Amino acid sequence: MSKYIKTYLFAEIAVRAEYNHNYLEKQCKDYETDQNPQLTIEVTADDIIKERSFSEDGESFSDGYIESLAFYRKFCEAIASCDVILFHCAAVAVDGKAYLFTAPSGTGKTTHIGLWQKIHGDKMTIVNGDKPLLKISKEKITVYGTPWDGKERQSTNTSADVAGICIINRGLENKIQRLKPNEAIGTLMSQTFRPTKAENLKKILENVVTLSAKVPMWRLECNISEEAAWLSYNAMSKEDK
Amino acid sequence: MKLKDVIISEANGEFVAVSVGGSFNGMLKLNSTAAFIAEAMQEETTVEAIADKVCESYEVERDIAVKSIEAVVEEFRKVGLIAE
Repeated sequence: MSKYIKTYLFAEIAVRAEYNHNYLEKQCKDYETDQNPQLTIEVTADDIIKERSFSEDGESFSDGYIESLAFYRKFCEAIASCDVILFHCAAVAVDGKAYLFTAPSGTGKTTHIGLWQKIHGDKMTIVNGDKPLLKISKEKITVYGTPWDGKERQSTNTSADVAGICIINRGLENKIQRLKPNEAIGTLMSQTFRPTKAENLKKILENVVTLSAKVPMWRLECNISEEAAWLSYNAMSKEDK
Repeated sequence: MKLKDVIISEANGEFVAVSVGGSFNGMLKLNSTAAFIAEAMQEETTVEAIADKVCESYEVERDIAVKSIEAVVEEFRKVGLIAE
């Protein structure tokens, strides 16, 4: 019997979570719901052992932290069929529209959205700094905040329709170019959670294809300056179809 | 030989392939010939058997077909997608 049994709403999916450590309980407080759960995810002691083996220097993390990662992994595998994907990026919203920045860890996603915060001030909301969820449909792509939000713990329990996705590279000068869907699709797939079941992976691949076709994709080379933030904002906000 | 759990999908007029589990975490872009060969390799087969299929579907000299199949198979092998 699990110590904690709570129902949460992530990307409009109500999930009953059964787990044993207060790390996850604290982390997910803002996301509790009264709705009837559509699915149940239980994190077992075996799941924690398995999750620890996935993570580099896994031994140094607490059981609670590892349990949280294990829960999110199981949840993301389970919701593949609901057309919801975990896309590794920093997601912000300005004037009701969301912009996603993706790059390998350490490239400067967090730095770039920090520059956006400087130029936009209170007009900007950080939806999620690391691992938000995207709901994919033919009509629109919506990003949802989650409490799995990176080292800086930046996230808001909110959602917004996605107006652009930007792949960040470090550069000396600031340059931005629009990408064709298939120029971006390899990066999109590499930044998307990969389920282990074939049927789920097939669904996720289809959804990444839809994402690449539906949302304008950009490649930004940038340094650390407000000019870089204005460049990406001006390009992405003008062309959101 | 056959492909290990590989999913092939149409993507904006091209084809892409990803591997389930396994060590290859990337995505391969395939042209229509490579996609045709990959589809044939979803079941146990040989270069000769794939060449038969290619020659039925495309107007191509058999030895040219065999060479291009071998080249595509080699690419799949390099990224560990083939169960020998």
